[in-house]
Amino acid sequence: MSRIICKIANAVPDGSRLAPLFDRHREQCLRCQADAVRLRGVSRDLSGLETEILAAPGGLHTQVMATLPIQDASNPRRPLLIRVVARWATGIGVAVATLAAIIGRRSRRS
Amino acid sequence: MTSRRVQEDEQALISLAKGGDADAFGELVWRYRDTVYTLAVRLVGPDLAADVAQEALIRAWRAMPRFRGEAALGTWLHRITVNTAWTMRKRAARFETQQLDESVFDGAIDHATGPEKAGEMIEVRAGLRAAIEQLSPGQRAVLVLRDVYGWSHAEVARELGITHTTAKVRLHRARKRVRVLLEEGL
Repeated sequence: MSRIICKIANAVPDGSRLAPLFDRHREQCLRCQADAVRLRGVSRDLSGLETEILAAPGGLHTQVMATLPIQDASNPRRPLLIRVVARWATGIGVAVATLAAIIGRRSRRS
Repeated sequence: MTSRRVQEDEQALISLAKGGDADAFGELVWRYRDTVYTLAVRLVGPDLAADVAQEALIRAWRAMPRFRGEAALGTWLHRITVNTAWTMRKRAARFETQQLDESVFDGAIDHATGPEKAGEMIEVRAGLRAAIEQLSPGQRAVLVLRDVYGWSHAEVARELGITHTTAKVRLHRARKRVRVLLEEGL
């Protein structure tokens, strides 16, 4: 039973709404505490990678400078925003179509 | 040159680049090309990284007049790189399972550690890099931005176009997966 609780507790991310439910268990469970320590260790090791900087390919600078387009003050986030809006629009479209189909079927029956 | 001189110098270059001075922008590209490329490698792997870095720097040039200096130029360039990598991720997905070429890191410049500590870190870092490469693109992006670059959950969510909760869940799963991969010796 305890193992199942440990698995559930470990599947819940820190800071999520469900996390406080497992606080008491985490405080008492050595297995969960050890797991948390190992996760913090991974996180700490990863932060060390920030100082590791790779040398860019020699031609990068030249290629960038050779292909500079006209400066148009365009939003660099635009492609992402379009993608997010498209994703939401698709979701809403599917939901509306499903709803319309359900309502249409019900009205035909009655 | 002192850091203050460098900063003032950079401000002058930014002002010129915002006004369309390609030479000033070229100097900024020269200064930031390695950090932009490094982030790109971490997000999409070495094969696509040069393309992502190039596209990100071109987008930065186009957007330069919008740069208000609220964040450091390096941070702004990182955000653009993340956006670029994320929007090019369909192409990046092809490299999802590809192992990172260790030779890419042979010339890695570590500014923070001395040579005596570097040896100890090589093994740990190689393991981490290999583990990161095995994550899905979504998990990898969140883990790299949060744990490697120290972004907040809010910044990660905003830049990747995902919810705060999704960012947290992905991070948690990514950390657990990395830990398991490291414990299993990949």
